[in-house]
Amino acid sequence: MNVPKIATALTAMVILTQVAACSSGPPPRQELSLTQSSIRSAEAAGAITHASKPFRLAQQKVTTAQSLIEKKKFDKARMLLESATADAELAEATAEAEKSRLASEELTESIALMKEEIARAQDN
Amino acid sequence: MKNNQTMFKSTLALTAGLALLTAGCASKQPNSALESAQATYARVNDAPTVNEYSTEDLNIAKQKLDYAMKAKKDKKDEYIVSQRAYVAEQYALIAEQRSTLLKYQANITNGKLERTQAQMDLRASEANSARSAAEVLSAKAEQLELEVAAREAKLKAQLAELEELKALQARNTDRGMVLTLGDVLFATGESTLREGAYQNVNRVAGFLKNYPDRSLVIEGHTDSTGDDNFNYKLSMERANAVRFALANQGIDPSRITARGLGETSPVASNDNAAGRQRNRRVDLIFDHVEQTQFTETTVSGIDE
Repeated sequence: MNVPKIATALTAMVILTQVAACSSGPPPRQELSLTQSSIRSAEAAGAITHASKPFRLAQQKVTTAQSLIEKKKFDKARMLLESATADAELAEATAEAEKSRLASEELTESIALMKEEIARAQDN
Repeated sequence: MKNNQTMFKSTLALTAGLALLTAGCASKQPNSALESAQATYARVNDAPTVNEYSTEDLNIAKQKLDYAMKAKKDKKDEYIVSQRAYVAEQYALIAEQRSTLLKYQANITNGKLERTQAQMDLRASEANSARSAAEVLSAKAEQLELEVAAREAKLKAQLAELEELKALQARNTDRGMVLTLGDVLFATGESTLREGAYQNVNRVAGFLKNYPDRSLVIEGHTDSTGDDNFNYKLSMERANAVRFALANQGIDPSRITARGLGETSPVASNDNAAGRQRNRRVDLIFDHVEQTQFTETTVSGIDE
């Protein structure tokens, strides 16, 4: 009687561990709002124009995560939100980099034009 | 008891199976997402600009990568490893983009300095060209002033000459300034100058000495009384008499043209004595004052 009891307890423990691994904690509300604010911030930085790929990816993942939350699949949703936040942050960083690249090029061009003008003025 | 043993055996089998299942979740096979993340992190970490500009972002990426590698080491589900690896790779890329941003921001800072310098250079060169334009204008203004002064001097000289001619009792006519010596200065029918004529001759000589470029035309005229040939001859002789008198005063005779016109150019009627007296005359014709050449006082390059 003792041995089966131990075996049963062992089995229960393993099953519990399994279930704990696949089951969820509380719904990832904070994570969702963090991701959403990252997306808003990326959009404000011009990610739609300058970094559309990671931006769309972040949006899609948030939509998927929201439906996972409805289905109580909180862990999977949490992971997806973390991934979406990374996408949104990459979109924002890319947009900022792209904008500064354009501004830098514009500046370089305007300096070149001015130098040309100076050279012309000195020729005259 | 037999039942119990069977149960124990089957429980053990189930436990083993579940353990196997758990093990199956974490594979020893390499995870491609993790490998990709590691490669990206290595590439970004090796880029000198990333190390220079975004060490902090790189540290975050490193933490995320370690977290993914720990999941792999702990034999966690491949899905979890992949997810963490994906996140780690995104943060490596974020570090890369941040360094790009900072690099361009540094470019912009330098560029603004360069632009300020270029603007100053441009303004300086504009000021220079404005200065040289101003110099050209001021030189031109100076030249114009000289021209005006020259013209003024010329006009003054012309005015002075006119005044002198007027003082000689010369009249301004279409042919120029004309000074008429009346017949009272000559003996009747003769070409000898009377004493009183020399006062006039001396004044004309003085004028011609003051204006050495001037030439003079002397015309002798008579009234219609008497023989035409005689009149012509008389008028010619009277004109010549004035010419010689001037020559005697030191005036180069080549400056003087003398001619006799007889009775052909009356200035009044020959029907009465007063008219005839006016027609008997010698006219001294000076060139138009306006035609005087003052080339030596004219500024070069100015078209007259």
